[in-house]
Amino acid sequence: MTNAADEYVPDPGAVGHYAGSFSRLAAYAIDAVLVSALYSVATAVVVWILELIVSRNFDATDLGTGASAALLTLWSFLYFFVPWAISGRTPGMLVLGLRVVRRDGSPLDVGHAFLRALFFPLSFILLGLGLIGILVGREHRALHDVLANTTVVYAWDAQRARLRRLARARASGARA
Amino acid sequence: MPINAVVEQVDVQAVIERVDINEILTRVDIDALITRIDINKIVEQVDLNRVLDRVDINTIVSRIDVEQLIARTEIGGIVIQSTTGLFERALDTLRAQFVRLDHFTNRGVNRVLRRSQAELPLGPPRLVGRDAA
Repeated sequence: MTNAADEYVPDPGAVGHYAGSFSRLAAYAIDAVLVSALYSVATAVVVWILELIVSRNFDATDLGTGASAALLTLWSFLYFFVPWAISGRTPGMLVLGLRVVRRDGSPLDVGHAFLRALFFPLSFILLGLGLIGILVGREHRALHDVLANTTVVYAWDAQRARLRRLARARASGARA
Repeated sequence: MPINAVVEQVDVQAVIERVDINEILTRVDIDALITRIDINKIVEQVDLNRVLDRVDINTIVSRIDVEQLIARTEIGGIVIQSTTGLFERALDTLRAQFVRLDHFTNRGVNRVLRRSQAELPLGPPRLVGRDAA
Protein backbone atom coordinates (compact mmCIF):
# COMPACT_ATOMS: atom_id res chain seq x y z
CA MET A 1 0.00 0.00 0.00
CA THR A 2 1.26 3.47 -0.83
CA ASN A 3 2.44 5.59 2.05
CA ALA A 4 0.45 8.82 2.07
CA ALA A 5 3.58 10.85 2.67
CA ASP A 6 5.23 9.34 -0.41
CA GLU A 7 2.34 10.03 -2.78
CA TYR A 8 3.19 12.32 -5.63
CA VAL A 9 1.06 15.41 -5.83
CA PRO A 10 1.87 17.93 -8.55
CA ASP A 11 2.45 21.60 -7.94
CA PRO A 12 -0.93 23.21 -7.16
CA GLY A 13 0.09 25.95 -9.56
CA ALA A 14 -0.17 23.44 -12.41
CA VAL A 15 -3.91 24.06 -12.61
CA GLY A 16 -4.56 25.88 -15.87
CA HIS A 17 -1.43 24.48 -17.52
CA TYR A 18 -1.64 22.60 -20.83
CA ALA A 19 -2.55 18.97 -20.21
CA GLY A 20 -0.08 16.34 -21.36
CA SER A 21 -0.50 13.37 -23.64
CA PHE A 22 -0.95 10.59 -21.06
CA SER A 23 -3.71 12.36 -19.14
CA ARG A 24 -5.54 13.10 -22.38
CA LEU A 25 -5.08 9.56 -23.69
CA ALA A 26 -6.44 8.08 -20.45
CA ALA A 27 -9.43 10.43 -20.50
CA TYR A 28 -10.14 9.46 -24.09
CA ALA A 29 -9.85 5.75 -23.27
CA ILE A 30 -12.49 6.14 -20.55
CA ASP A 31 -14.73 8.07 -22.95
CA ALA A 32 -14.27 5.49 -25.70
CA VAL A 33 -15.36 2.70 -23.36
CA LEU A 34 -18.28 4.75 -22.05
CA VAL A 35 -19.49 5.83 -25.48
CA SER A 36 -19.63 2.21 -26.66
CA ALA A 37 -21.14 0.86 -23.44
CA LEU A 38 -23.81 3.55 -23.27
CA TYR A 39 -24.62 3.04 -26.95
CA SER A 40 -25.08 -0.68 -26.37
CA VAL A 41 -27.28 -0.09 -23.35
CA ALA A 42 -29.33 2.59 -25.14
CA THR A 43 -29.77 0.34 -28.18
CA ALA A 44 -30.88 -2.56 -26.01
CA VAL A 45 -33.39 -0.36 -24.20
CA VAL A 46 -34.80 1.04 -27.47
CA VAL A 47 -35.09 -2.45 -28.99
CA TRP A 48 -36.81 -3.73 -25.85
CA ILE A 49 -39.33 -0.86 -25.92
CA LEU A 50 -39.97 -1.42 -29.65
CA GLU A 51 -40.56 -5.12 -29.03
CA LEU A 52 -43.07 -4.26 -26.32
CA ILE A 53 -44.90 -1.84 -28.60
CA VAL A 54 -45.07 -3.78 -31.88
CA SER A 55 -44.95 -7.29 -30.38
CA ARG A 56 -42.27 -8.71 -32.64
CA ASN A 57 -38.60 -9.49 -32.18
CA PHE A 58 -35.94 -7.07 -33.38
CA ASP A 59 -32.25 -7.64 -33.97
CA ALA A 60 -29.47 -5.09 -34.15
CA THR A 61 -28.74 -6.26 -37.71
CA ASP A 62 -32.27 -5.29 -38.77
CA LEU A 63 -31.13 -1.71 -38.89
CA GLY A 64 -28.46 -2.27 -41.54
CA THR A 65 -24.74 -1.50 -41.31
CA GLY A 66 -24.99 2.02 -42.73
CA ALA A 67 -27.78 3.10 -40.41
CA SER A 68 -26.04 1.54 -37.39
CA ALA A 69 -22.81 3.36 -38.22
CA ALA A 70 -24.70 6.63 -38.70
CA LEU A 71 -26.46 6.18 -35.35
CA LEU A 72 -23.20 5.37 -33.57
CA THR A 73 -21.54 8.41 -35.16
CA LEU A 74 -24.40 10.66 -34.09
CA TRP A 75 -24.34 9.17 -30.61
CA SER A 76 -20.56 9.70 -30.35
CA PHE A 77 -20.90 13.28 -31.57
CA LEU A 78 -23.55 14.02 -28.93
CA TYR A 79 -21.55 12.24 -26.23
CA PHE A 80 -18.66 14.66 -26.74
CA PHE A 81 -20.50 17.79 -27.86
CA VAL A 82 -23.09 18.05 -25.07
CA PRO A 83 -20.67 17.75 -22.07
CA TRP A 84 -18.17 20.07 -23.75
CA ALA A 85 -20.88 22.64 -24.38
CA ILE A 86 -22.20 22.39 -20.81
CA SER A 87 -19.04 22.12 -18.72
CA GLY A 88 -16.04 21.81 -21.04
CA ARG A 89 -15.36 18.25 -19.90
CA THR A 90 -16.50 14.75 -20.78
CA PRO A 91 -16.86 12.08 -18.06
CA GLY A 92 -13.36 10.82 -18.92
CA MET A 93 -11.95 14.33 -18.57
CA LEU A 94 -13.77 14.72 -15.27
CA VAL A 95 -12.04 11.61 -13.92
CA LEU A 96 -8.62 12.80 -15.08
CA GLY A 97 -9.22 16.40 -13.99
CA LEU A 98 -9.03 17.99 -17.44
CA ARG A 99 -11.07 20.72 -19.09
CA VAL A 100 -11.37 22.02 -22.65
CA VAL A 101 -11.09 25.78 -22.94
CA ARG A 102 -10.68 28.22 -25.79
CA ARG A 103 -7.13 28.87 -26.89
CA ASP A 104 -6.88 32.03 -24.77
CA GLY A 105 -8.15 30.16 -21.70
CA SER A 106 -11.71 31.47 -21.66
CA PRO A 107 -14.54 28.96 -21.12
CA LEU A 108 -15.79 26.92 -24.05
CA ASP A 109 -19.01 28.14 -25.64
CA VAL A 110 -21.52 26.11 -27.65
CA GLY A 111 -20.01 27.14 -30.99
CA HIS A 112 -16.48 26.06 -30.09
CA ALA A 113 -17.79 22.86 -28.51
CA PHE A 114 -19.68 22.09 -31.71
CA LEU A 115 -16.64 22.70 -33.91
CA ARG A 116 -14.41 20.62 -31.65
CA ALA A 117 -16.83 17.68 -31.69
CA LEU A 118 -17.20 18.05 -35.45
CA PHE A 119 -13.45 18.03 -36.15
CA PHE A 120 -12.63 15.47 -33.45
CA PRO A 121 -12.67 12.44 -35.80
CA LEU A 122 -10.27 14.20 -38.20
CA SER A 123 -7.45 13.79 -35.71
CA PHE A 124 -7.85 10.01 -35.78
CA ILE A 125 -7.94 9.71 -39.55
CA LEU A 126 -4.57 9.39 -41.35
CA LEU A 127 -3.14 7.02 -38.73
CA GLY A 128 -3.73 9.44 -35.89
CA LEU A 129 -1.31 12.01 -37.27
CA GLY A 130 -3.63 14.75 -36.07
CA LEU A 131 -2.83 13.75 -32.50
CA ILE A 132 0.92 14.27 -32.85
CA GLY A 133 0.53 17.89 -31.78
CA ILE A 134 -0.49 16.77 -28.27
CA LEU A 135 2.90 15.16 -27.85
CA VAL A 136 5.24 17.59 -29.57
CA GLY A 137 3.31 20.85 -29.92
CA ARG A 138 4.23 23.90 -27.86
CA GLU A 139 0.63 24.11 -26.62
CA HIS A 140 -0.11 20.36 -26.79
CA ARG A 141 -2.93 20.89 -29.28
CA ALA A 142 -4.28 18.21 -31.58
CA LEU A 143 -5.60 18.93 -35.07
CA HIS A 144 -9.18 19.29 -33.80
CA ASP A 145 -7.93 21.77 -31.17
CA VAL A 146 -6.26 23.86 -33.85
CA LEU A 147 -9.33 23.80 -36.11
CA ALA A 148 -11.73 24.64 -33.27
CA ASN A 149 -9.35 27.11 -31.60
CA THR A 150 -9.39 25.19 -28.31
CA THR A 151 -6.95 23.58 -25.93
CA VAL A 152 -7.04 21.21 -22.94
CA VAL A 153 -5.79 22.18 -19.47
CA TYR A 154 -5.45 20.61 -16.03
CA ALA A 155 -8.44 21.64 -13.97
CA TRP A 156 -8.35 19.52 -10.83
CA ASP A 157 -7.76 21.10 -7.48
CA ALA A 158 -4.22 19.97 -6.74
CA GLN A 159 -4.12 22.29 -3.73
CA ARG A 160 -6.92 20.32 -2.06
CA ALA A 161 -5.23 17.07 -3.03
CA ARG A 162 -2.02 18.30 -1.45
CA LEU A 163 -3.82 19.21 1.77
CA ARG A 164 -5.55 15.83 1.84
CA ARG A 165 -2.18 14.13 1.39
CA LEU A 166 -0.74 16.12 4.30
CA ALA A 167 -3.78 15.33 6.40
CA ARG A 168 -3.42 11.62 5.68
CA ALA A 169 0.28 11.75 6.51
CA ARG A 170 -0.56 13.55 9.76
CA ALA A 171 -3.31 11.09 10.65
CA SER A 172 -1.19 8.02 9.90
CA GLY A 173 1.68 9.57 11.89
CA ALA A 174 -0.64 10.09 14.86
CA ARG A 175 -1.81 6.48 14.71
CA ALA A 176 1.73 5.11 14.55
CA MET B 1 -7.95 82.60 35.62
CA PRO B 2 -9.85 79.81 33.90
CA ILE B 3 -7.90 76.59 33.66
CA ASN B 4 -8.39 76.40 29.90
CA ALA B 5 -6.66 79.75 29.47
CA VAL B 6 -3.72 78.44 31.49
CA VAL B 7 -3.52 75.29 29.39
CA GLU B 8 -3.56 77.32 26.22
CA GLN B 9 -0.48 79.20 27.44
CA VAL B 10 1.46 76.00 27.98
CA ASP B 11 3.73 74.73 25.21
CA VAL B 12 2.64 71.10 25.48
CA GLN B 13 5.07 69.89 22.85
CA ALA B 14 8.01 71.37 24.75
CA VAL B 15 6.82 69.75 27.96
CA ILE B 16 6.48 66.37 26.26
CA GLU B 17 9.95 66.63 24.80
CA ARG B 18 11.36 67.11 28.29
CA VAL B 19 9.62 64.09 29.71
CA ASP B 20 11.40 60.74 29.72
CA ILE B 21 8.52 58.52 28.61
CA ASN B 22 10.51 55.33 29.07
CA GLU B 23 11.30 56.27 32.64
CA ILE B 24 7.63 56.80 33.35
CA LEU B 25 6.67 53.53 31.70
CA THR B 26 9.07 51.55 33.86
CA ARG B 27 7.17 52.82 36.93
CA VAL B 28 3.75 51.97 35.56
CA ASP B 29 2.22 48.72 36.74
CA ILE B 30 0.83 47.61 33.40
CA ASP B 31 -0.92 44.59 34.88
CA ALA B 32 -2.78 46.72 37.36
CA LEU B 33 -3.66 49.17 34.62
CA ILE B 34 -5.03 46.43 32.41
CA THR B 35 -7.16 44.97 35.19
CA ARG B 36 -8.84 48.36 35.51
CA ILE B 37 -9.68 48.53 31.83
CA ASP B 38 -12.95 47.12 30.64
CA ILE B 39 -11.81 45.57 27.37
CA ASN B 40 -15.33 44.52 26.49
CA LYS B 41 -16.52 48.09 26.70
CA ILE B 42 -13.72 49.24 24.40
CA VAL B 43 -14.35 46.45 21.93
CA GLU B 44 -18.04 47.32 21.86
CA GLN B 45 -17.13 50.79 20.70
CA VAL B 46 -14.96 49.53 17.85
CA ASP B 47 -16.60 49.51 14.45
CA LEU B 48 -15.31 46.15 13.26
CA ASN B 49 -16.72 46.62 9.79
CA ARG B 50 -14.66 49.77 9.32
CA VAL B 51 -11.57 48.00 10.63
CA LEU B 52 -12.11 45.03 8.33
CA ASP B 53 -12.68 47.33 5.36
CA ARG B 54 -9.16 48.60 5.87
CA VAL B 55 -7.64 45.12 6.11
CA ASP B 56 -6.47 43.28 3.00
CA ILE B 57 -7.57 39.77 3.93
CA ASN B 58 -6.02 38.30 0.79
CA THR B 59 -2.60 39.58 1.78
CA ILE B 60 -2.94 38.06 5.24
CA VAL B 61 -4.18 34.72 3.93
CA SER B 62 -1.41 34.57 1.34
CA ARG B 63 1.12 34.89 4.17
CA ILE B 64 -0.26 31.86 5.98
CA ASP B 65 1.66 28.66 5.35
CA VAL B 66 -1.36 26.37 5.15
CA GLU B 67 0.71 23.23 4.82
CA GLN B 68 2.69 24.12 7.94
CA LEU B 69 -0.56 24.86 9.74
CA ILE B 70 -2.03 21.49 8.83
CA ALA B 71 1.17 19.71 9.81
CA ARG B 72 1.20 21.37 13.24
CA THR B 73 -2.44 21.20 14.23
CA GLU B 74 -5.33 18.81 14.45
CA ILE B 75 -6.87 20.48 11.40
CA GLY B 76 -5.40 17.59 9.47
CA GLY B 77 -7.76 15.24 11.22
CA ILE B 78 -10.70 17.48 10.43
CA VAL B 79 -9.71 17.80 6.77
CA ILE B 80 -9.32 14.07 6.38
CA GLN B 81 -12.69 13.41 8.01
CA SER B 82 -14.55 15.97 5.97
CA THR B 83 -13.07 15.56 2.53
CA THR B 84 -11.43 12.21 2.07
CA GLY B 85 -13.42 9.36 0.75
CA LEU B 86 -11.85 6.34 -0.78
CA PHE B 87 -13.03 7.47 -4.19
CA GLU B 88 -11.54 10.93 -3.87
CA ARG B 89 -8.28 9.49 -2.65
CA ALA B 90 -8.13 7.10 -5.60
CA LEU B 91 -8.85 9.98 -7.97
CA ASP B 92 -6.08 12.10 -6.45
CA THR B 93 -3.61 9.27 -6.87
CA LEU B 94 -4.72 8.47 -10.41
CA ARG B 95 -4.57 12.08 -11.58
CA ALA B 96 -1.27 12.71 -9.88
CA GLN B 97 0.33 9.69 -11.52
CA PHE B 98 -0.84 10.79 -14.96
CA VAL B 99 0.42 14.32 -14.42
CA ARG B 100 3.74 12.81 -13.43
CA LEU B 101 3.79 10.74 -16.62
CA ASP B 102 2.90 13.84 -18.65
CA HIS B 103 5.79 15.79 -17.15
CA PHE B 104 8.16 12.91 -17.74
CA THR B 105 7.08 12.61 -21.38
CA ASN B 106 7.27 16.36 -21.93
CA ARG B 107 10.82 16.43 -20.61
CA GLY B 108 11.79 13.59 -22.95
CA VAL B 109 10.18 15.22 -25.99
CA ASN B 110 11.78 18.57 -25.20
CA ARG B 111 15.16 16.92 -24.91
CA VAL B 112 14.75 15.20 -28.28
CA LEU B 113 13.57 18.43 -29.91
CA ARG B 114 16.34 20.35 -28.14
CA ARG B 115 14.11 22.99 -26.70
CA SER B 116 13.99 24.38 -23.21
CA GLN B 117 10.92 23.93 -21.03
CA ALA B 118 11.41 27.48 -19.80
CA GLU B 119 10.77 28.96 -23.23
CA LEU B 120 7.50 27.07 -23.71
CA PRO B 121 4.13 28.49 -22.66
CA LEU B 122 2.74 26.93 -19.48
CA GLY B 123 -0.89 27.41 -20.39
CA PRO B 124 -3.42 29.72 -22.03
CA PRO B 125 -2.74 33.40 -21.27
CA ARG B 126 -6.00 33.95 -19.39
CA LEU B 127 -5.31 31.03 -17.05
CA VAL B 128 -1.62 31.44 -16.25
CA GLY B 129 -1.04 35.12 -17.01
CA ARG B 130 0.48 36.61 -20.10
CA ASP B 131 4.04 36.60 -18.74
CA ALA B 132 3.94 32.92 -17.87
CA ALA B 133 2.22 32.02 -21.12
